[in-house]
Amino acid sequence: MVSSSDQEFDVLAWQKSLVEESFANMRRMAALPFLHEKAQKVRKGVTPKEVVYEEDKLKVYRYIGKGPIKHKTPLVIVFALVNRPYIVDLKEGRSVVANFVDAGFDTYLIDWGRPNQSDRFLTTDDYVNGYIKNCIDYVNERCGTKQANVLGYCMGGTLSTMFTALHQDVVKNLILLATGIDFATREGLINLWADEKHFDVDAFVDTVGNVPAEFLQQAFLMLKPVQNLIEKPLSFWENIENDRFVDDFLHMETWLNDNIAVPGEVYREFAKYLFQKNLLTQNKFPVGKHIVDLRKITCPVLNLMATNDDLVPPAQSEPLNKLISSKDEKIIKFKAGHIGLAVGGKAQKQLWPEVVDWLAERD
Amino acid sequence: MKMDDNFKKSFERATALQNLWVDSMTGMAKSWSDYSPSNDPGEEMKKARQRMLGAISKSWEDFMRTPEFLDMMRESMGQAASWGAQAKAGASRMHETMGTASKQDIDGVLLAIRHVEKRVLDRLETLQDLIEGLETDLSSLNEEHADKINDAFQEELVKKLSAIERTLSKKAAPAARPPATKAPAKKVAAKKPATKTARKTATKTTRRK
Repeated sequence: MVSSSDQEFDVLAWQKSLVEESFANMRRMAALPFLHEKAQKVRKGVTPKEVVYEEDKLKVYRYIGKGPIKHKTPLVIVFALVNRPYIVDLKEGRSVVANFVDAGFDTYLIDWGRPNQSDRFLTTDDYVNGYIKNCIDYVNERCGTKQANVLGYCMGGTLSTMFTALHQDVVKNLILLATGIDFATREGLINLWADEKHFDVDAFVDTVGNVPAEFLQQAFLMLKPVQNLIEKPLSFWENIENDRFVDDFLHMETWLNDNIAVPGEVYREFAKYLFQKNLLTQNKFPVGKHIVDLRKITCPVLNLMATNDDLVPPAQSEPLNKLISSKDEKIIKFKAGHIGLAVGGKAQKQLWPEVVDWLAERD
Repeated sequence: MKMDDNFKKSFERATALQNLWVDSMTGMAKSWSDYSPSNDPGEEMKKARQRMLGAISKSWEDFMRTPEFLDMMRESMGQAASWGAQAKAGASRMHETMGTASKQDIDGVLLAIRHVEKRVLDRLETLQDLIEGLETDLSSLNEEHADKINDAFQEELVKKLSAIERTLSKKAAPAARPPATKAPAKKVAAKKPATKTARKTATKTTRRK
């Protein structure tokens, strides 16, 4: 033993630790060849579903539950235009959709498809007053209802909020998940980078047309470079023998790397009117010929936000409840990240049953 | 003067980068201060690594908020955009020479389609508003004149029925049949819902006109 002034440096313990770590690394190396096989088993969405409506590249899925439909009002999930929507039905035990389907909700999901160059001139108006309106109308017609419940996630939440403000008559309840509304805050890095002092959105969109998936992927990666480029791979390496961890990791990574381009004009409008001018909170956001007035939202609203969200900090979502006219509004802040709010194990056990109950009470 | 500005800018950026590395290194060095040799070395190493990465992460996040980084980001994005625009213009000229369609041409066509679509939709919207206005006018008009129309319809029906009866009575034996002028009127009165049909028919005829 080597003695120091106040503590002792245990050489034997160090030697033992080094040998253990070496053996552990050898075991991890042995697990590597099976990784490909595990990656092949990753499924994009787990709950059985059918396509019930199609328009251009858009598809509306209806999820098929095992039990009967117990609630008369259907639920339509609106996902962001960035990434694919199967994150809401990632895998067994980590599915937002399954929570609603199992509770007897007739659940639908809008899949925007993969936009190509022909979609570069699509605007927010096309999405809000076109696609979402048509989907909700279709679902209402199919279910014989006049109103539907709408759940929007991230950018899908912002679109759902605009839709509800413009078409309140067809929305019964609105649930928002990590939704950016007030972009005045510079708490999040994305908001700071998108500021007009640092980002010329017109020059960018005019050059690239649709905003490439790789650009968005890099931007998200740079939000937490050390976590994403060092900590994540290290953590994966250390847990490579843990099947459950690997399965979760592969599902998440498949989704995270499954980026899609964002139609150029929608990106321009979002960057300019939201990130740079913050028009939504001022009730000045133009959607085609209409102006979004948040005060026109009168239905019950449940605003869910994640306390550790780097992409959409709670400060960006919280102001909504004060800007709408709904008397029945609620905020739930949950200790999770942007994605963990939907698929995290804790969120699945604690948050989503509460959300399902909230919606069931207002059916 | 311009050269001085450029030099100043470069110096500030270099300083910001230097600060990033100095902060990261200081943070990493500090992370070892909590090291306790009496604990399990494996666990201690993991904890130290966590602290080191935390320190680097914080330095990077601070750096990405500095005006120098934001300035560099804006400049590089601007350069990329201008390079992209130049490349596009070059490709466009090449396509023009070769007589093929460039991306710009395709975008032009798409934009033209969008404009046509918008104009058609606007026109349809105007027509829809017009039709809705006409329908409202018609329904109010129908309500006003519903009774009149109903009366006229009934009168016409009665006339037709009595004509049929007259024809039938002429054909039949003259002695056997009693006169039945009031019966059809009763039938019409019993079929009151027919007014709706009448209204609908009236609306349809007007629409066609």
